[in-house]
Amino acid sequence: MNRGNGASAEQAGVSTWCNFLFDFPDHYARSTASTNRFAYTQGVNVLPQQPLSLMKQSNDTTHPDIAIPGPVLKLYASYRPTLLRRAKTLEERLGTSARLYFKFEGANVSGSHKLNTALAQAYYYQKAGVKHLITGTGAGQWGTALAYACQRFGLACTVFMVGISYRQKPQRRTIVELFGGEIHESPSKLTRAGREALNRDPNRIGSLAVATGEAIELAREKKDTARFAVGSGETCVLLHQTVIGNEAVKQCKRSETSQIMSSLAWAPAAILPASACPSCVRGASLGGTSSSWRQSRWRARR
Amino acid sequence: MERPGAGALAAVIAEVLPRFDAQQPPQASAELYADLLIDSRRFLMIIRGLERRLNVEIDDEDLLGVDLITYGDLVKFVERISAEASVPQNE
Repeated sequence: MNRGNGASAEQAGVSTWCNFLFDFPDHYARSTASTNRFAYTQGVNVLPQQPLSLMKQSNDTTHPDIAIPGPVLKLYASYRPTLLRRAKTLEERLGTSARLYFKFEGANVSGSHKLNTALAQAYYYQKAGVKHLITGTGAGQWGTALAYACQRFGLACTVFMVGISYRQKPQRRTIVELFGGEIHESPSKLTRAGREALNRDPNRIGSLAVATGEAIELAREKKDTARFAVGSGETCVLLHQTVIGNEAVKQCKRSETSQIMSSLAWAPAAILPASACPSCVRGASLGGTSSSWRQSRWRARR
Repeated sequence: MERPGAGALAAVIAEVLPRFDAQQPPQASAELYADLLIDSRRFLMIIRGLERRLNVEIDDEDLLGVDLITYGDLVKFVERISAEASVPQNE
């Protein structure tokens, strides 16, 4: 089979993200029902802290696919398409006659799938006039990816890394610094959230919640130039990860594979975007092409 | 004569906020968040409505250097967008 490792980005031909909100508009409507909870606060600027383009992506139920901007595609081409590997041992262990495949997303400069969204976010924030991104990271993959992406788009980057990981993985700290980022062991003394956490946690074990809290606090202090960026939990982040699934569909088509189980080495948190995307699962496993399935949905909606 | 941007804005806000009366828009000093209950999600809905009505695409660059605190701020922003949209691209 063609494992995809010898193909160029052009051959993989992925130029869009798969917008799953288009496929699940009812779910979107339910999940965003207004709660009408407003605190009476004056002087609030209603501009979202995220760029408008990312807000649109997180709330778009009308476009089946979203074009990947040229500068992001160009940077994707430095490490994509990623390997599509057959999981023969897993097939044997499961005793299945199906062929199982996984995508390996660890072979890039940041070491994880996080780069797929870090590059996209850095691009959009830079376009929106932001000069500095601030974030929290647990084991460091997201912080590394964001530091690299910020360097590529000329942004400053500050990372708060969970204390125990900061000490256990000094190489992560070094890589963030190599990419020009500033990295702090969290809890830190830089923020009120960090100082309060230090009182409770003198051994500086830390947590992602505290690291994130520190990042948000610093971003609010520097709101004229800086923003808080996040590597998971936002709909647009899932959208950016669908490049994995879209690419898998293309690679499987080339090898005439009709059944897919998508997964990601080193990245269990990102299984959803690769496998839950309709263009991957339904398009391939129903025996049709992803585009024909989505085109039928598109016609039905119009 | 009613300014086209302001008229489109009032109509769009009325779609997003059912109690908003497009015929009697608020004072320019009314605050978007505190007085009109427009949060960032409703702001996005307003942006989409404006894109549809004015047949423009509002991008990140359009919001550079913009502060949207009052209704007057929003009217000025929409008038600028609508004026730019009416200028032929070749000029």
